[in-house]
Amino acid sequence: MFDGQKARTFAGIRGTMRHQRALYRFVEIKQLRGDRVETAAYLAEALAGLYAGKPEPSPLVGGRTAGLQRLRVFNVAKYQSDRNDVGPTAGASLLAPYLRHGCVTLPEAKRDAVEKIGADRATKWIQELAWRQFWQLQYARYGSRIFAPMEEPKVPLGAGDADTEVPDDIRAAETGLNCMDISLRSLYETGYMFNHARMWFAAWFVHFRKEPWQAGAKLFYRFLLCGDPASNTLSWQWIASTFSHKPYFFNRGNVEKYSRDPATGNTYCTDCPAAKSRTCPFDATYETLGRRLFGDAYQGEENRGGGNRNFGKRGDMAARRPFKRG
Amino acid sequence: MVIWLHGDHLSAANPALAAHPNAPVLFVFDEDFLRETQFGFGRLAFIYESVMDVFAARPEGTCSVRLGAVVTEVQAFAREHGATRVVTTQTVGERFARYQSELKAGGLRIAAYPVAELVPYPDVERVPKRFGAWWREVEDIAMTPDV
Repeated sequence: MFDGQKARTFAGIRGTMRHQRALYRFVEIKQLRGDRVETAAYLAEALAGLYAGKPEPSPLVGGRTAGLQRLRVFNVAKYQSDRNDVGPTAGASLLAPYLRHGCVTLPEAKRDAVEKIGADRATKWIQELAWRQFWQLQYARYGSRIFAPMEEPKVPLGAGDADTEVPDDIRAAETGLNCMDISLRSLYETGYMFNHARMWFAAWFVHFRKEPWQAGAKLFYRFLLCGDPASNTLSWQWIASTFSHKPYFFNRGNVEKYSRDPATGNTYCTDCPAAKSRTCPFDATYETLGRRLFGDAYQGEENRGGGNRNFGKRGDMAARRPFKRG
Repeated sequence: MVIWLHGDHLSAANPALAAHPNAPVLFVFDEDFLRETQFGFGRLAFIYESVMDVFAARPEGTCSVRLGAVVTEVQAFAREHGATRVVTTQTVGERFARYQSELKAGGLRIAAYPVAELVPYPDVERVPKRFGAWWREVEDIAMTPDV
């Protein structure tokens, strides 16, 4: 029992209760605004049994105050050019958790960008905000149907049970692939993963490992601070090709290009065990990988593209094939 | 009248809170849902901090955060304040819709305020399944600076 817990009886409510409990009991959670470590220690006890992972707060502080501060320092011009980078040059906004929980609204995020650089220069950012509304509209239209495949997959998917958990190597962030392990550690320790890394992981999970997309979606939903039923579930379906015209996948060249640290020249592949042992599953051309992964269902590179997706932000497919305006 | 604050609009400026600056506010950690889902701790801490940030902008002693069943807690909170009306913000998802209808069935009047979107799009049945098609519909409005 922790301080602040109370047990009360409301005799008048007993008759209408759905659960057959003898007493109506509620737990009042303390309102703490001080040291984050102390708050986390309190919450760890108050919410015991109701969460996974280490009871440590993310580096991202919750709330509108923190969200507006992040919006003020957000470099939307850099986002326009570097949004697909992962690592030190990343132009990611880190605003997704604040947008997901409504700490900052979509119109506010747009207005800020327009004031900084003008609407025409902020197109990519505004499109990313639009993606969020788009997913919400799908959820409003289709409801819980979004949790099942929205369409037939365009390529063969794994036949695994949708209710399974992710394999142990993924749970431990010990897959032997740096691009995955770095991203998974970030997910577990900070509640954040770069959008591009989310796409890599999802594509690897669904198309290389042939695991059910539902298991990956559940993992992201549980650990991403911005985890949202609509954006997350439908982004996984976009990767899997059950809510898009074709599957998303990537190759090693894409990882190297977007994870390069200009100061050192290093990429996620530099110290990767799989690269050293020449067992990297991504080290091939798109054509080769496409045939390997999808066989006859692979349409060829000339038929790829034209799509776009995000996990709250954007992906590199659109970078290669931006939407036409006007 | 009391305000039911939920996890999709954790802003002191949300329309329900802004319209009723002195009304009591309740946030509920949905115990059964959390036990089943097992979110990472960081998510719950982020939500808690966001709730505290909302409460900081409200009159002292008018806000509560509880752990339990959402409908039961909102009903109890309304009863504690002698309220028959609950105000919240509209959001999608079946859990919200279910709680809202259970609160109504339990005799409370409930008003869910709409929250500002990037572009107005009232007819959700019309939304295309591909972003590109939808963007072509809304692009002009989305890209207008003052909307």
